[in-house]
Amino acid sequence: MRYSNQFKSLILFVLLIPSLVNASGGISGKVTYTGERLPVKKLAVGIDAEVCGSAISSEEIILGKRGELQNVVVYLSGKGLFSYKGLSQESPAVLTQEKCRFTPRVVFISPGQDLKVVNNDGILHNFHTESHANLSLNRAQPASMRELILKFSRSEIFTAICDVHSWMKSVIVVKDNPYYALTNEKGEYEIKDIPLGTYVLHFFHEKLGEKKQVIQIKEGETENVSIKMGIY
Amino acid sequence: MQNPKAYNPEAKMPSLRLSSQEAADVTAYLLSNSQAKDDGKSRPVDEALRAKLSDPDAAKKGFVLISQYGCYGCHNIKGFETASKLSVDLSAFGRKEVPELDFGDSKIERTWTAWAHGKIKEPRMYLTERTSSKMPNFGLSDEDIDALVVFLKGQKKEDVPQKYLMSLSKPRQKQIENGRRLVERLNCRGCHVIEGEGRLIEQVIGSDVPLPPILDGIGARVRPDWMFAFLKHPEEHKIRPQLNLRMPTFQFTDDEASSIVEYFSALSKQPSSFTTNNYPRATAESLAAGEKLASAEYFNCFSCHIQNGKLPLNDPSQWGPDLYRAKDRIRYDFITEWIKDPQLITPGVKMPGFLPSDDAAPQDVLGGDRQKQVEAVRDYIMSLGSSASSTPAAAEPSAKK
Repeated sequence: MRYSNQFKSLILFVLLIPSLVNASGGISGKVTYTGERLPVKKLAVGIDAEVCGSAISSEEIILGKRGELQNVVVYLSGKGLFSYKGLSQESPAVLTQEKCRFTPRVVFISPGQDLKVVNNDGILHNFHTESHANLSLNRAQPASMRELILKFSRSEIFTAICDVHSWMKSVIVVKDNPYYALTNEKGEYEIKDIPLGTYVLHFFHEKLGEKKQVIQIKEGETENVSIKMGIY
Repeated sequence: MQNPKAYNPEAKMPSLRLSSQEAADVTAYLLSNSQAKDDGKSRPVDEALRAKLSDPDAAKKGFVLISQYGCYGCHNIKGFETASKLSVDLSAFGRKEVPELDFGDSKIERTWTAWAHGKIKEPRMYLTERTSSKMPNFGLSDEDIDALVVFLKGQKKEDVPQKYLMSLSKPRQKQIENGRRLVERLNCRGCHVIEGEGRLIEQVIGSDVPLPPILDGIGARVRPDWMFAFLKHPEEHKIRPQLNLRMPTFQFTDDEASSIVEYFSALSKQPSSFTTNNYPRATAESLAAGEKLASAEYFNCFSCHIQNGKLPLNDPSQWGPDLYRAKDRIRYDFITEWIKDPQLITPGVKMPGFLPSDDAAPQDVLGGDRQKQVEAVRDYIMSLGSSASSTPAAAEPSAKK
């Protein structure tokens, strides 16, 4: 899906600014957790234990052996980034509720794209967005409603929770350009094919907040930006 | 602290129904505060003051200053019992014409209102080399200044112009005015949001903890008889047993409690009169469908709502009120709108919208008709509990047909 969008963006660049077509660079790096390593919280499950299990580990901070920090949203902001605006998204992004967890924890969508929320548990869930730019909504998804289709029209990052199962939380990233990445289990990320220019590079983590720095993208080069995040 | 009205019947402070131990704890805290302030540091000042007290020149200077600033206007001060008022008589101030007002060198608009506003906001703004003023700057907000300007405009020794008079002839205006005065006097906004303002307590306890409810729209939500009973005895009508929040007992008279009920009803454009439980009889089909929709296969209401005293299994912060007590509390016609999408009525509320649109309606109940479904859930909830004698039609009469 992202490939097809980059393809579209290429076409648009060809039409608008032919001289920039091949001029691009990239960024890659690693995010590590700094500070005291907190024990993973085990949350007691009272309700729907036959579906959810008797205890659930908090997935707010997921670390590798050497503090590699997973699920950091890395993205660019600034002038000159291609916008998805006006282009439709063919396939919906999918967010599944299974065993009272959201999978994936972090989901990326573009403005106006369908977000399909799937209930595989056969029990009542609800989908409650803590959004600001987009109208906050709170929809019940009972056992009788397998799929719930939602749209968000404005770019922002917000959390969505389930009030029935208070540990359930996911991060929804609405982005109007394709220049983003999510750190993997090694804490690594990479963003390719960025138009040349000076931007702000953001690192967002649901629990550890946001860090940012100015970055310059030079032709043919891949900048390495590695940072540390922690609770201060 | 345990019973402020016993100490002073006129006391505004409500009873928080504190136990002896709780009252003792708060007392200890308050005393510890005052001790901290009295500690040592104030003594050097006392010494300096004592030295000045014995200085006759200083006493004389003080006497002159009191005469100049007119402190005796508000305070009783020995030696000034017969002193005349310091400043001008305002009882006809509202009648003054613009040429009678001294604008000095100011660039302010030449109107009575602008002059009066400026005088209160910045008393020395019209002064020139030849004039002086003793009026203090009271640091009032623009809102308070506007109120004073209106009051002063009324100082005419004659009829006050119609436009400055509150009209109580509009429907519900009188109830709203009466209620507003009570709300202001009792500081209800310290805890609650009323008419879009309030919840000052949030600045103290933060917003991460449960906060007292927002009361905008409450008149459309709860029954007047329930609200009256709640105001009289909050401890007997606790809605969320898991919370430590405590609505104080104000020991309202019946008139006061009625005023508040009428106020909230009027704000929500609802009749303030007490209503009976004589809502239409539910059909057996609707009741059965409502029970089905409330079950675990569908909306699973009792995954979060207390069920006739039985507490839900999820986190207490997520619990909703006991549905077996809803029919005594909630207005019959409110429930349907609430079930559709509570978010539209109370943004941020934990309860999700079960039927915000037609496509959310389960297809295998009542032919997938959303309106019939919300009415069915309402009928079912209204059938729960047994307290009132006017229990709505049980299933039998129509079932026997």
